[in-house]
Amino acid sequence: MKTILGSIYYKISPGVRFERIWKIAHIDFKKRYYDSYFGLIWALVNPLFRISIFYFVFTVFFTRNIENFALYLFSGLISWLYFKECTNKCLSTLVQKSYLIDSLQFDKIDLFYSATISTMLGYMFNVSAYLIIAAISGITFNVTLVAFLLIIVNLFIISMGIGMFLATIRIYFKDISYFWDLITLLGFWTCPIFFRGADIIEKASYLLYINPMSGIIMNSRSMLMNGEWPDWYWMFYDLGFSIILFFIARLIFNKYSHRALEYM
Amino acid sequence: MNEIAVSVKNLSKTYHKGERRLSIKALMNGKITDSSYLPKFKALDDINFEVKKGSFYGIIGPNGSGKSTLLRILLGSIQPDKGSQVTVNGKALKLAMGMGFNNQLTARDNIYINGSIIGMSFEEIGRNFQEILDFAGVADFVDVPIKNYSSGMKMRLQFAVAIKAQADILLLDEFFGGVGDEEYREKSQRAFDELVSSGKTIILVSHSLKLVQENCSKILLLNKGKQVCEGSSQEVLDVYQNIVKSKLSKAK
Repeated sequence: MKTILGSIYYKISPGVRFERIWKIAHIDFKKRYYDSYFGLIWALVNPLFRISIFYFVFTVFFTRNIENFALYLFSGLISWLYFKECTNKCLSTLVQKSYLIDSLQFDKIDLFYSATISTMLGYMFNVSAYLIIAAISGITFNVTLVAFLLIIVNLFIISMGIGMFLATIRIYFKDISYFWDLITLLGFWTCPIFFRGADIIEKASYLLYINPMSGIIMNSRSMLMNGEWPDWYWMFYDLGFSIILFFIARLIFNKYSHRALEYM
Repeated sequence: MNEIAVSVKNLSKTYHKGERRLSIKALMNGKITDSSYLPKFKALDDINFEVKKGSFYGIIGPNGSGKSTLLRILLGSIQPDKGSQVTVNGKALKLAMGMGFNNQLTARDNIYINGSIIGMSFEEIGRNFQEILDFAGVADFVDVPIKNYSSGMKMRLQFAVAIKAQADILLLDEFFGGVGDEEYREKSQRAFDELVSSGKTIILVSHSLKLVQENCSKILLLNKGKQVCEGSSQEVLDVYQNIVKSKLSKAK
């Protein structure tokens, strides 16, 4: 088999490739949570802590008219925190895994799959925790929960796409992580985490077009809190947005990543 | 067995001394970063050689002659200058001190990650797992992060994984099994010989002239990024010793 350097990587069977992606993700996840004393609980403590603060501020100082406000925050916040963590992880994955890139030939895209999968594992844990807590507090779930799978797929695609895009920029422009901090802050306040999705459609629907996370979080509430089907218009808009973004990011990454090791 | 495993023609590599920066001017020219203002440094200059499949090839040269750069180009982790032709037939794997291993991870995790990246399935790794540990003599420390390993243990473990490599071409950067007691050296020499006779191509970069002389059928001598000569071991080693001698006399 002939391989011209830099263009084609040697072929391995898809099974081996998946195993490798899984192993890197698994070890990442393990390192993140198992090395600490409380382990996986930390994945949950962070959102719960934030929820307590927000809940306090928004019930004491502001008037609010959302039922089950704590759960409302919970369901929105876990998706947002997943997104933020995953994009940041992808952003730095090339630097952190340079020990692999430097001595072995393999497709660097795999590192992004691994980063996304390992964050996704933490997200799944949080979603399960939400479902249990929500069920105890009397929220009933029904068949619409199936549509939540689409939300998960959407989150996977969009965070990996954006992460790949950021990582490519990171090769040439280290300051991107600071910019991304600002942009995620902006994104956080333009998502319906504290306010109603209906309000955002009424008052500032352009936000839903600009920030796909906004629509994703709005839709995830339909299944997680109200037992309704999502707003399909925004569901498919966000999915389309994410898929296009993913492929653009992939193209850009393929074109500009070959000098990753030299420039970083 | 006269197939070519590695062929390098007109290979040059220029480094820029310093950090590149983003510039609007460069963006307008279709590039992202501007490096024209940086002083240049030719790490490799017009290198030509071929390595036959299944052979043991040595690369020697004084410090700073571009040996490691050459290996990294062969591996594809850095890109050569335009106009260079580098063809590598088959998959390559570089072995060097501390490469591909993460100090925070345990031996088990490192073996699995590295094993799967060099193309083994989990099932294959599992089958060879005990053998790898026994070979390296670290079976009692399998779940210890390798940051706690001694440098010898780390090298032995890497070597043990590496000889299982499904790679066709092994690039050894100052890396060889001979770390340890007499028994281990004997064992690794045998493994090494098996590797060579199994049809794998090995390219060795080393300062150990003895090792190069004993193993390599052909040697490439580099000096300050330029190719000095290539040929059978004895003549090249003579040239190399002359270079070293002249350097030493200059230093006096």
